[in-house]
Amino acid sequence: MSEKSPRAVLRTKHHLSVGDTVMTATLGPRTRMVRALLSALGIAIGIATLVAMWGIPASQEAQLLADLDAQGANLITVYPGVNQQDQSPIPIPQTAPEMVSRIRPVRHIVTMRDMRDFNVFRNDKVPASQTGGITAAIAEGDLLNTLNVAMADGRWFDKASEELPTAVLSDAAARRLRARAGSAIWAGNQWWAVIGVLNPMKLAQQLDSTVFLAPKVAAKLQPDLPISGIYVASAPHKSAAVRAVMPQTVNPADPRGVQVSQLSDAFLAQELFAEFFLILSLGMGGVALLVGGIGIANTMVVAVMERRGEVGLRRAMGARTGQIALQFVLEACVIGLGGGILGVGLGLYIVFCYTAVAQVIFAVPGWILAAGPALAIAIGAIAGLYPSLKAARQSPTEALRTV
Amino acid sequence: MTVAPSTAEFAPVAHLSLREVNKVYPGNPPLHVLKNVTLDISPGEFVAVVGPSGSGKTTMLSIMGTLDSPTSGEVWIGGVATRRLKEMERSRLRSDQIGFIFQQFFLLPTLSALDNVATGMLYQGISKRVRRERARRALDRVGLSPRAGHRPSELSGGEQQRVAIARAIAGEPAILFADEPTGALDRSSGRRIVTYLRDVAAGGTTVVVITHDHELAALFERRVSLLDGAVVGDERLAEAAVR
Repeated sequence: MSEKSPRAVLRTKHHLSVGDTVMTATLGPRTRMVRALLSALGIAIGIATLVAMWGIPASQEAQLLADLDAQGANLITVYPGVNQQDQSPIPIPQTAPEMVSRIRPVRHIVTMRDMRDFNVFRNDKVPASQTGGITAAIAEGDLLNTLNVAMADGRWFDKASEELPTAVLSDAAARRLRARAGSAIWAGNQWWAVIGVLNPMKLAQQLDSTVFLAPKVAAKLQPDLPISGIYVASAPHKSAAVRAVMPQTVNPADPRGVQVSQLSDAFLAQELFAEFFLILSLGMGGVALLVGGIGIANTMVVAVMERRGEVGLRRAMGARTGQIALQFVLEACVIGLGGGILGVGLGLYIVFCYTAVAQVIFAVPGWILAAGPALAIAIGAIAGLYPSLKAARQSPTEALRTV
Repeated sequence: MTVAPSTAEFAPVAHLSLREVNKVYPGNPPLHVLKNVTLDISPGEFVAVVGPSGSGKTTMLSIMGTLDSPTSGEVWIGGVATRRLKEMERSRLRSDQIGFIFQQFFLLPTLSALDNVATGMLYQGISKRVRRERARRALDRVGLSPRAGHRPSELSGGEQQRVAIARAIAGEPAILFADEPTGALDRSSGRRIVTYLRDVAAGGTTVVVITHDHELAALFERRVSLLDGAVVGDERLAEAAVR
């Protein structure tokens, strides 16, 4: 140690290493683990509330979107309207499918034409009266993608098969006809080769007992069939917009003579609910965090009072006021961080339990895993600021004397 | 300019020098705790400051150790006038030059004896490895190597104070201040503590010990007596008497 300490030397600072800073900041919580844990609990509850309240609607929404996708929320169905005076159907113009397919958010479209007086039988021996409720139709367009259905067996029409007497059966029709790909069925007084069977059509159950005939062949048998329905799949979240322009697109001359299926109102209701839930949760989480912050502040005030001796000793050992303040602020941050991590874990667990019970998809936005602890640290820092400054401002003699 | 030119006539030649130090606490009436205290303590001296309660011993020690500043007068430490130093500079001075021992030990309860000693050098800008190395040596000097891993609660009062001494000397301060270091100990433990402190002084460190125990004070080579904030006696005892 040098005999002389010129003032220039005194003006330079000794700095604590990061490791020493961390060790010093965690000393308090390590010494009084239970107290640190209890004061972190307030923050934990707040963060858990936020995580849960964010995660539960997010999970609900994820499930809802999945459900709606499966249910065809983006599916719009167009039927011929009915004349109010004589209850006669108002035919859909033949140009409609092409017009509709030009609406930009329309992804897939299929046009249905029901065959007239066209009974379908398992074979030519079945009496004509036993139709089994099976109807025949022509499906033009992309039925598989529009109605989100897959083939259970065989395949859909291609360029070759659509010109041959072939048929694709819906699920119920196939069961009633006891037919599968490779079978033959008797319809309209001729044999049709079954080339495929569809899975059940959840999005259009009214089509489930329909036999789809090769379009070109059927159209030759019954030309100029009216359109019995148009099924349109729009881009996600665009169905409302597509639906709005549908009547005038389908029938510009008589938009009122077009029937367009209603969207599930539940979707909008759920969105409103989620928004309300979010505001409510922000309020609740905010209150919990405030209480948690006060808890940390309280703990730090007590800690500073209790550890006056330590503060005095550190000052005597040469700690600067800033180092003392930093120690206690970081200590509050450590408690906050502990609460934040605990809270995120707790929140995820709550969301997990909810999703398990409610049988919805577990979906928590990833950013919340980082934002939760970050928010908790910030609250800890704010809560710890005043007690820390108080600790730092104590004169060392006072701190040492009052123990 | 506060660095004293060593050749100047009034410059303190001692490691530690007090010049007409007064400490007055404002109030009605104001409390005059230290009155014109002038004192020179040479490097390596082993000094006891004695006096009854309220005589200003602790205040004098705080001012000498730069924990407090005098109302008037000047304290020189190793050639630096300390009264006008900024808080930051005092901190640096304390970390580099001064060690403290208190009656209450102030050991951190969750740390081992070794870590407590190492903590004493925390603010000296020394790496952890070196701190622990020096701490080990300091513990060895006070005969506590076998207890290095024990926590304060597992040590006797005398052992705890020896840990505190090790903590104070591990950083190799130029001056060591002890405020009633034996106050919480029984007589024989107290005597042993004084022995350790005398060894520290023998190593070249200036050691200033406050005590109200005159019997213990007889073990020091120099005894400064305070009464009502004024120095009323400054006697040097013969080497034989100290023994």
